[in-house]
Amino acid sequence: MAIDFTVNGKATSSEAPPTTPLLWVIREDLKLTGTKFGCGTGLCGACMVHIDGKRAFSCQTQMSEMVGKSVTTIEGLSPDSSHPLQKAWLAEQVPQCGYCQSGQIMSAADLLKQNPKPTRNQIVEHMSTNICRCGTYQRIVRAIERATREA
Amino acid sequence: MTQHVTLANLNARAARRSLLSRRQVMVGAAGLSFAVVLGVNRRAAGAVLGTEQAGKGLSPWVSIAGDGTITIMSPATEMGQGSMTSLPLIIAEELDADWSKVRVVPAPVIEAIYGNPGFGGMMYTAGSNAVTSYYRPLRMFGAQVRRVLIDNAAKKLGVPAEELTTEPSVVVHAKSGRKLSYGDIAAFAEVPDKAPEVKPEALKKPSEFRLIGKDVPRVDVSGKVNGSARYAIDVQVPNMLYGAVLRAPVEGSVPDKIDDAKAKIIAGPVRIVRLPYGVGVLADTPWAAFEARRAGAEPARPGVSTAKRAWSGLSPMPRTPPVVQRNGARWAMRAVRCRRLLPPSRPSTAATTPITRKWSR
Repeated sequence: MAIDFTVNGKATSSEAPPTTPLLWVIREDLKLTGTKFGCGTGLCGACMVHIDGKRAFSCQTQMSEMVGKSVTTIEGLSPDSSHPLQKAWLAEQVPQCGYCQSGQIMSAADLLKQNPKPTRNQIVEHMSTNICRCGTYQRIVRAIERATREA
Repeated sequence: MTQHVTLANLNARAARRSLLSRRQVMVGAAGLSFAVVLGVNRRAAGAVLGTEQAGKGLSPWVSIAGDGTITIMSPATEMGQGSMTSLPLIIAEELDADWSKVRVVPAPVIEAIYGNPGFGGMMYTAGSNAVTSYYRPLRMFGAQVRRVLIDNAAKKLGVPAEELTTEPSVVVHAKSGRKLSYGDIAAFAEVPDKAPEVKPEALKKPSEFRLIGKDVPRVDVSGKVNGSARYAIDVQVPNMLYGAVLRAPVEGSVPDKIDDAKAKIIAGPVRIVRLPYGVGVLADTPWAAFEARRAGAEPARPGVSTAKRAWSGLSPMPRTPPVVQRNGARWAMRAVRCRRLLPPSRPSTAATTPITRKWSR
């Protein structure tokens, strides 16, 4: 049974088994590999996407829940890397290995949507869903603060 | 344009020592050519490595296009420490390249050319070693390409090469005020068979550096903020299979009996591979491989959260089980063969404990 949903503004249909996590449909079928597989258990945040405008772990979201939903991945955050967070991420040279950064940026974008002027504590609290093994947390916070100033 | 670089009879050490005779690297007897290597690897590596150089190849490291775009090979793996920026930057420094026109591409796996001198010529990135080990050879390679450009410009302008200097990506004849861009020169350049000799003392003095020591943004960051950076896990090739490993629940145990019936029902066609330390599962999709791996533990129940089911596979470690049943495999204990890392616990005193002692296996 095909599941119809929207990804980055495009109508999409998936034949994947309904128990398949959204993550694998995004990565393997739609070839949008910016969204990463990290832990597979909703603990690290590398797979973070937006579903109907709110952040969600794509590894914890089954396709059966996706009927009619709208997904935004890192590739769809802006057409040309011009989202204020992406610009701030460049300015602060945030990523090291970069593997977690798609998820970090998607989480941060969710925060700024809810709260355009978060305090430092609110940033840290909100971003606690995302782990960075390189330890770029200080830069992440700086980049979010920069984006709130420059947005 | 794909370069044809022949590797026959070349070993990494010789290539390194000669620093490099271009003839040695680029021309040889029969054998494997750069193009063949790319061809073979195209399906596996071509997807992730845009190794083809644009423009005229002036060395295995540098090619220059008519529009002035300079493509420089990066020989090390970028793991976030900036190798992909710093190593090509060293070449660009001695080449006197306009950094804004440099495009960095990962070098193909040809250790004879791109190997790390600090690791016996292997293409191996570790231990904060890349810049230290590549620093001297890369400066020389950059300087050699600059010399080729100067020699060609001298011929074109009909002036002695000694009268020419360079500014970023431009050869300048100060006496006559004439200039030739690197892109223009590349279009007509004749590349010598043998790399021109550049004496170490002819390299730039640190005070002349335009790039080294400056704060230069990393070239890999832009792809890491929009999802376009490609990691090994992102490479997809036609008909590829995905593997998952069910590891032994107790160190030293091996699968005694494997029942893959449930795995096949749940995940479709899968292949089971017996491993010395566990059971491998091969499937068409990653998710099918994961599903098959845990299929033996309990039947898949639609609606059960994936997280819970993943954790259910982690049963507490049994103390001394002769046989363990887990995830469709029956595990038999085998004598633990690994080296004992800790000393046997027994009371010791300063008087009876020598300062150093060797532990037998």
